[in-house]
Amino acid sequence: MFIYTAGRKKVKLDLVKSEVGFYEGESFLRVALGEREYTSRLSEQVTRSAQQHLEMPGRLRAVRAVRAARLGAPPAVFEEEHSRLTRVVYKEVVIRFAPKIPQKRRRQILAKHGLKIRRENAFVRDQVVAYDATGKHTGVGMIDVANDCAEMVEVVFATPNFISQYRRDAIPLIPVAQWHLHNRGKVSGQVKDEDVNAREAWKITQGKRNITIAVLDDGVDVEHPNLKSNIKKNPDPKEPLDTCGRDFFVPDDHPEHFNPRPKRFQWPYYQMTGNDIHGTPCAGVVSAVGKDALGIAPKCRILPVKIFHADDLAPDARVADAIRYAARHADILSCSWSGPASPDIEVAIQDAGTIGREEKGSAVFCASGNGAEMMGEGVSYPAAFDEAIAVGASTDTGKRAGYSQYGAELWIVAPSNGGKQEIYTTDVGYDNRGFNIGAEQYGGADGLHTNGFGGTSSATPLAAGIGALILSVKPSLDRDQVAQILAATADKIGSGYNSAGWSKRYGYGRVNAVAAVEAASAMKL
Amino acid sequence: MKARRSVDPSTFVVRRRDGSDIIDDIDDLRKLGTVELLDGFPDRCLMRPDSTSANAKETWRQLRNQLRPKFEIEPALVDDRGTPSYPTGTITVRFKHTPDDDELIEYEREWGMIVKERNRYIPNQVTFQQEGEAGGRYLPDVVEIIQRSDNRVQAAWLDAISRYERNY
Repeated sequence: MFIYTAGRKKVKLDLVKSEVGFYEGESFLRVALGEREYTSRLSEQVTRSAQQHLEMPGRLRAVRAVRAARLGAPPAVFEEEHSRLTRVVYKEVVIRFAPKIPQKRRRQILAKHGLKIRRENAFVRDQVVAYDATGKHTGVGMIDVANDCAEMVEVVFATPNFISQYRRDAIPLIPVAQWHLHNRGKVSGQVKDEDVNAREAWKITQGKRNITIAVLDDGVDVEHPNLKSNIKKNPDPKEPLDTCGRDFFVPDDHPEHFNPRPKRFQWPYYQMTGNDIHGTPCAGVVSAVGKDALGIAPKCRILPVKIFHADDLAPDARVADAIRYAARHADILSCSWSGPASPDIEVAIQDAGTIGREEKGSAVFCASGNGAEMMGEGVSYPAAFDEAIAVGASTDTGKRAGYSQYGAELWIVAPSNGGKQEIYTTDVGYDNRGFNIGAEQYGGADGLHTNGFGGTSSATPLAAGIGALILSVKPSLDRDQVAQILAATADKIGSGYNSAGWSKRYGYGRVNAVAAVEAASAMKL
Repeated sequence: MKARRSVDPSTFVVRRRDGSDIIDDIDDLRKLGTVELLDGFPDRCLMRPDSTSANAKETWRQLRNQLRPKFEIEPALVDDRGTPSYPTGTITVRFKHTPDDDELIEYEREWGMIVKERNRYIPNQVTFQQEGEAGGRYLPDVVEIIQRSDNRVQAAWLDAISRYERNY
């Protein structure tokens, strides 16, 4: 772990155990790769920058060749601990002297570390870029030099002259376990590319901050490190108590109404029965952000709407009102549950078509249900209602998941478990709570993630998140258009499609994020 | 509307009229049939009577005669997928147009119900509860009559509590 000083802040850096690669002519030499698949692309970016900005020789075979060329240590590649952005340092430092420090003293400070001025800042007189003329501090050593300078009273700040990756252009790096986003076919039997093409879609959009997906479920861990930054703040601006969503299981005047977090737990805490551990994985599938887990729409926001307290009976009227509330404050609703054919819920889903998005309607994605093996044909409610988008599940081998309910109302399917691998996503982060209460084999010793999620519960937020990507590129679409784009761009996995491209087992097929986003972008309204 | 529920002739919701816990009455209720408590709703339980009649309404009438005035009785509902719901004793009416307060007072008088609340999101949707002696009516019939005969109404239904399944 390295630390450098940025103003008053101490920023932690992890040294990446790889080195920067170089171009020889047009060929990128894969010297900088490490184990991570993404590194090659990233290294390519970084290398281009490094060659441009760090004044390295252009025709070198590899980092070892740099050493051979007597240029000292190679550049050091770091990941910033908080942001996970790549930062490269070679042999430069940026120093800003306090005003009125005499030139002689400035030269003494630089000379202490063998630094020479490369250039003075054109806009700020007291700021210079200096370089290590001795070759002693190149790379990692430049962190110490910068920190040492920063300690001096004559120096306002000193920082390595990083070449940095900026988030604006960064395509998130999908963990291998999240095959539903990018299926590399890593597990025996798993079929490569049986996924939703998230990586390709993210080149167009990762979502927009002003697009919100409501997760109506048993609560969301709003402090989870992969969710926290994407939780919609004060969704109802007229209600100051509404800081991060609501709990409709309890009435408005209940002290817990404005707390949408998981609350109901009972031993055994890793089983869903009796525990509020279902909404947090759903939220993660939609919009987790961070290096450990990603949602399909990592730049969209989540509105947590709690409607269940574990398995307790719930009033249909409150569930219906939760849908109406969500439609007022979210663009997309994700409902990973089944229940009775409630007239109130049916009309609430209709209401979402008029309440939501200035009458353009909030699309309501509902799980088709997991009971196909027992029930045979038939989609459960509320997915079976006409104005819901019924989502079934496909597997990592491109087949319908055996449990996934199907029938006349099925609209689309999305990847979930039932094949070789289950779904890796966020888990309730409270100590000793969640599907994974803290075991490496279940998703990590910190208990923040589970690798055992699935069902149409997981397929639904995945499809809902793609709906959010569609609205991110074309916010003027109404909810029927969102549904039509999903249908028109779905991959025809399996068989049994009729002339309209619909099958009772797959609906219109498996959602394809990139095709959907491209189609939305191309639409002229 | 697609949501269609029918009464389950074998299962009834028994609810304390005063809202107090039903647990102290369980032994007495068990003399009439099997009883199941409902999680989170301590004032009510499900009863499957030992003795049932040819139809739900007749069984309801018998139970009501045995259990009034301490308890309210409603038949359970079941949808076309076999999923049950348990009525709460209130009826929600969705009007075609938003009624003003005077119209609601008139509606209360007409149907022998009192307004419990107007929906905060949809002002033309109003929940009613039974009033006084009218409280002994068979609510599935009341809802059906409202739906069939009242041209001010878009839809009406029995409010219910239900067990939802998270699809993990």
